[in-house]
Amino acid sequence: MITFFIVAAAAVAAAIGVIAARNAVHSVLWLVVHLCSLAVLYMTLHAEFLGLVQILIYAGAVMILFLFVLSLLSARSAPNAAAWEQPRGQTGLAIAAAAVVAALVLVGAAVGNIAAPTQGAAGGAAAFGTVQTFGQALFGPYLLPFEGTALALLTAIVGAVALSAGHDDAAGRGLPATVAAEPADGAPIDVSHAAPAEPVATGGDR
Amino acid sequence: MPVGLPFYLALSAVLFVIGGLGVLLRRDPLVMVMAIELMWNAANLAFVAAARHYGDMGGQVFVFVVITVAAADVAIGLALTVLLGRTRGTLDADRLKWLRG
Repeated sequence: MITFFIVAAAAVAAAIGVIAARNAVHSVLWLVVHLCSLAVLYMTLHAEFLGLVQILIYAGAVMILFLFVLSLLSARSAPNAAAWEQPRGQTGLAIAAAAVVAALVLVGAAVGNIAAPTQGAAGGAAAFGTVQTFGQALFGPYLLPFEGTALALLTAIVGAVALSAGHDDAAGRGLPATVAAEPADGAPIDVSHAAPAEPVATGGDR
Repeated sequence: MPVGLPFYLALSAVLFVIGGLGVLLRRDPLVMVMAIELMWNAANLAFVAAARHYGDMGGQVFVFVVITVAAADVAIGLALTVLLGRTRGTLDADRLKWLRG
């Protein structure tokens, strides 16, 4: 009980830190704190394997990916990053919408008819949540979703490679053509749209 | 006394809403992807809590699936972000509207 509230407070605080931090690196670090606190919650919920996966995959690999991209991008666009981050009047509307969603779900969780746990589920079942039962479920009745994740990862790999390897080609012909076609349909285009044409030309050198 | 499912659902809802606020309020695509990660994880927490509540391993298996899909999502999202940063020279999500129909 005490653990839940402490860790929940840490998770909420870290989540707020993620979206409130001005520096994107701080956001990543807050996200690591958030993911680790969720991993603690998973462990208290008898999902030890998922807690470890959360720390290894999420707080490890995925956050490293974030930091790599951050260091890749910040060399170009860091200095004036704060200028366009100022709120432009959508804050109140967004907070109102978020409050409505939160109220709906919280009311649902409070007064909703949550079915009682099945026999022996919440109390005992010593084998629940072990890696063995997890694996038996993953490779037994849930084999098809597991294969689906393989497909999803393959798609992601192909997509990421196509996006980054086809960059030079796209920068040379495809994207500028799209940009040039933009004013044709009468859409107002501000001057700042034309500015990125400069990095396109120099984007090829590595 | 163990904490009941409603507490976890409430925490999950709060975290989900914080992530949604991040997507709505921030303009850095990188931070928006991170906020989407917050929303993934809020859903994961609800899955794990429900799996514990009902004693069904299916919830944990689907959290595993969601983590994998989220990793794929991050890979694609960050590749797009890098591409945008290179070709457009800006990461302002409000400026990146040339895909608008």
